[in-house]
Amino acid sequence: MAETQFIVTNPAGLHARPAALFVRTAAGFQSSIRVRNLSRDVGREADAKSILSVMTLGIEQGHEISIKAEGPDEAAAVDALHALIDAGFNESDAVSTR
Amino acid sequence: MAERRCQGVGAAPGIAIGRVFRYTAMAAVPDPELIKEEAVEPEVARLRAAIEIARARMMSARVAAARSGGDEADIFDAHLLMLDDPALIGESERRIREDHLPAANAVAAAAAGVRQLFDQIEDAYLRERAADVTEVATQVMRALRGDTPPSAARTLPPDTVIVAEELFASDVALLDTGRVVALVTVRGSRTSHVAIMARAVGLPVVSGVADIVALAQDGEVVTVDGERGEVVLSPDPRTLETVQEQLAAERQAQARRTQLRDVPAVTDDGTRVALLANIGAPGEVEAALNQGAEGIGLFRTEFLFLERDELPGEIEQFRTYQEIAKGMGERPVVIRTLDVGGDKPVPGVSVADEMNPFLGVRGLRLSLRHPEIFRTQLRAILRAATEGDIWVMFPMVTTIEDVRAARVVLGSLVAELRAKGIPHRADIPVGIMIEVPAAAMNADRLIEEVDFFSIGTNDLAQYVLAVDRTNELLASNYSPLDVSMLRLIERTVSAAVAVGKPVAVCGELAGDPEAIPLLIGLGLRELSMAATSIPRAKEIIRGLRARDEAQKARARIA
Repeated sequence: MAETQFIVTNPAGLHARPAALFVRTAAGFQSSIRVRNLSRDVGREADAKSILSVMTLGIEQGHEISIKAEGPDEAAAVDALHALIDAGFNESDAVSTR
Repeated sequence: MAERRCQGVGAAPGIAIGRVFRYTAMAAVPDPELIKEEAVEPEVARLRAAIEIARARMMSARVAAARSGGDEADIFDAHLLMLDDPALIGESERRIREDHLPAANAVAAAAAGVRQLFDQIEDAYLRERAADVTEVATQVMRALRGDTPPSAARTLPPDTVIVAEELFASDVALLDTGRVVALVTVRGSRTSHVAIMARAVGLPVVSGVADIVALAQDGEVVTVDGERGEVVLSPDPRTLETVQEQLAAERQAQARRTQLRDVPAVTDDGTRVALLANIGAPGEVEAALNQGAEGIGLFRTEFLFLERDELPGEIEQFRTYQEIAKGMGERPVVIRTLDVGGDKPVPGVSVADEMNPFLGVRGLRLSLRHPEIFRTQLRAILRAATEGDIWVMFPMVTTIEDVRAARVVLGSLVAELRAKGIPHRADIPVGIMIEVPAAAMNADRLIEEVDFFSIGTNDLAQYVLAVDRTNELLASNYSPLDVSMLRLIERTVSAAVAVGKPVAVCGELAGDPEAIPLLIGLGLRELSMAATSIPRAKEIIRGLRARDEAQKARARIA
């Protein structure tokens, strides 16, 4: 089993568009992947391949989350999802119009 | 029928006169009648078939939304994922199998369960995403009942005004705007996906009209004012006449502006002003030409870098720039290099946590710190510039050293391309955005280093006034026409005019009817704006006398 815990710095948290990207990335792995929002509701575990479960974790900027994967590609899955969140999800709504 | 006036919220502007078509699909889910054990599997199969119908509709909506541009297509990506979601669909199947609920009730119950989870979220934006769950569930329930989306109503006559409890983004994406002239809904807001998409296609929308579905009769004449949020059912002859006059005036104004397309923007006393378009993607070139743009005054290259997992390569950028240059022919195309920063991250470009991203590593500052990204983009621009008339522009320049550092990179690339024998334009015009107060103050020195200026009034105002223009609490403090701004603009224009180099404004002020006379008065002869603002700007300029405006402007800044 591979697991990582870190703090989300993406200003918009994990709303619809980033959540879609997160879930699509997760779906690319065979491992079963679970996400928890340690800052809000430690007990609830969400399936990383379910957009609604991920969205309803209510992940906001500054929240600490945990990603846990179990399966043949568990380490790669955890790394990829961590990197995705670190990269800030390519937020287009933050583009200034000048 | 007597005249009835209803007040709602203007969600998308425009005036329309048409006949009511009430779209009443999915008014309510009937109370469940539990199904028998042997009917369970067929009911699950029915649910799955309905999901596939909903999926097909969402995919065509996605295609339609992508065609009309904008970010709305992304919404459907999230919706399509929800159609496969165990929390919604898996739960619906469980409720059919274990609770023996009919499919429609199972979906409604599963959606209600998910919405409850959303309700507990503290963040308002995320909480409101519950609306997306409702939309997806409704699409499945419509398919289950055999209801077609409003766009599929083959009987829709011309001049139809759709009246509904609620409409969804996918409904609007697929509407035939040749037949549907307006939308009126009970639920919805100015910021809903529906309103945004309707504005993009020029369809008037009034939302928040209580009881309108019950009040209106099918086929009844109705007038819709998407600006004031007014809906009048069976208008009296006098009311109808007034609205008809407004509609005619609106159409006339539109036609007059279209006629203006091919006439130049010249003031009454003979001063010629060039009107250019700001664009964000190659797909906007055609619209820019249709509105009469004499060039692209600002091509924002950010779209190439955002919403993707990897950085765009040189070839991809080269093709994009060349496509725009080809589309514009002989007309100039100003390409602005990547303008992102800590406030708008790009994958692979990490910026340390900044306390103050607007005062941080943005624009040229970021490009100079990421030479690989900067060099790739400049190489693509230099190579594409063999086509048409491409200019290059750097954003967020503060000092002369900034300009010189950028020019060193550009010079080394020209040398490299020449050595390798790759076709490029060595004498490409090089300009900078004037959007930092320091740059405006030093405009007379900076102009010695570059070929042109373009004033970015949005950021300049933000920095000069020390007001975040997205901060609603400070909305009244954001005054981009403050004397301080006018003085800096005048200073910048004078510096460029003194040495005979072009200077433009490419911020929102350039297309602002109130600002245009002042900008002309301050000596600007090039304005770059959203393509749709060009006809109105032309109309304004043709009614001005440059000499009078110069006098007024001088008085304002004296």
